[in-house]
Amino acid sequence: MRDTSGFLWRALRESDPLIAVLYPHSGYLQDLQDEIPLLAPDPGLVRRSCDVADAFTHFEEVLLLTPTDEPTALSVLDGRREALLDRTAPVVLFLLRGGEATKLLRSEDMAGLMSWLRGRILDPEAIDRVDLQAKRDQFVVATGKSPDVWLKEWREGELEDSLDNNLLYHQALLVAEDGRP
Amino acid sequence: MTSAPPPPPWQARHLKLEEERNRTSLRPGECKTELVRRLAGLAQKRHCSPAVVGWLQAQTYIKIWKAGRKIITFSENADGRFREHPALRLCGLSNLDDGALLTLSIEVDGKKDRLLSYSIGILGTARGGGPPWYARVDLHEEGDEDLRGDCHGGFCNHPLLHCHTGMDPSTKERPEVRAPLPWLMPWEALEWLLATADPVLEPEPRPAPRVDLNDDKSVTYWAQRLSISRERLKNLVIEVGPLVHAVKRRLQE
Repeated sequence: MRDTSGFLWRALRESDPLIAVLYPHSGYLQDLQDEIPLLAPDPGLVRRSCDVADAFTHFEEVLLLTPTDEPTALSVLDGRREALLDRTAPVVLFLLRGGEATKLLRSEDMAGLMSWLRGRILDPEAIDRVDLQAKRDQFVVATGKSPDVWLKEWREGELEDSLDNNLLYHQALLVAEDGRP
Repeated sequence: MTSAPPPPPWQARHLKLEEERNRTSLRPGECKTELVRRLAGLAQKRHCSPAVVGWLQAQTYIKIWKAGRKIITFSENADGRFREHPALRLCGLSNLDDGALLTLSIEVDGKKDRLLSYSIGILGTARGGGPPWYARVDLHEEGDEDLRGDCHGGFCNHPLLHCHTGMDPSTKERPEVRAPLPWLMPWEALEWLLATADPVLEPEPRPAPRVDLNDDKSVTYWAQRLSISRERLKNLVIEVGPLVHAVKRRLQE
């Protein structure tokens, strides 16, 4: 599942007690916090908190944790990893992408936690980026044209206004070399 | 000094839609969540797999000038497919045989929080082995100055936001049924399309008519419509409540 929702959907159903999600800005954070309850097995069992102490209570509820002090929260979680193992629903720890905590997480001091989190760190910016060459090749196979040629023909009204072409239009936009700013 | 003449009606509609698009602020994640919310509701009613909530993806453009733009589609994990496009398999809809498909593709500019274009469609066959059927709502990108003359303002001068419907989604049928639509967000277009496939999914049924005893005009109107006196109507409303269908039922008893 190489996309954010697929990753989260699976992670919320596995037994891992901690997932880290790197958010690029506050709007993105808000959207993820709104989406996760919809992805959870039971939307009624999802809580939000800014206090890392909540990671060690209500083990059956998914906890959306946005700590006010991210580095301190990391240290607390690292120090009490064993206690997290009792959780039956994960803590989703939100960290600002490129912030202090993400730097700390990659430091020697957090090697233990980092190793523990392997495969459970979600970077939506990276995971949702398309594989350009593979997508371009796929497009050429599907249409017999490069995305740029196809896009030009579409915009000039030379292609049928069909369901297939309306869906292909967005695929062409994703991978075209050139286009409109 | 004379003011400029108003634009002809079709141009005015076009301008109105562009105005709506410019006024609407929408983050890609916000759009995705609203869609997931509708799809979760659809799954709750057993019209699709409950896993649908994890099947939407928002892919990012590679090019620098397009940075921040995202395309929201079903991911490869989705359980249906229309040609190369992942789609959602629908079932239990009163007007369509099981196995109908929902397709969607939405372009949102995350830097400007702006909805750019979308295409959302349903295709299948009429319930009971009837004819094939599809309906699709398209919001086209803005017209470009350098496009060919007949293509300004929406794809080949189609209204910016419109619905196509017919039997074969792959070809241009003649006559072509293409209806202009008022401004709809993608999830509203989805709700509207689903309601065509099953009336039970109508998102906001018209409010049931009521008799308002505090409004003299309402009392007079319904008394005349039901061919009873105002006093009798008032007594009935006190007895069975303000809903007109309840009053009618009591009158029939």
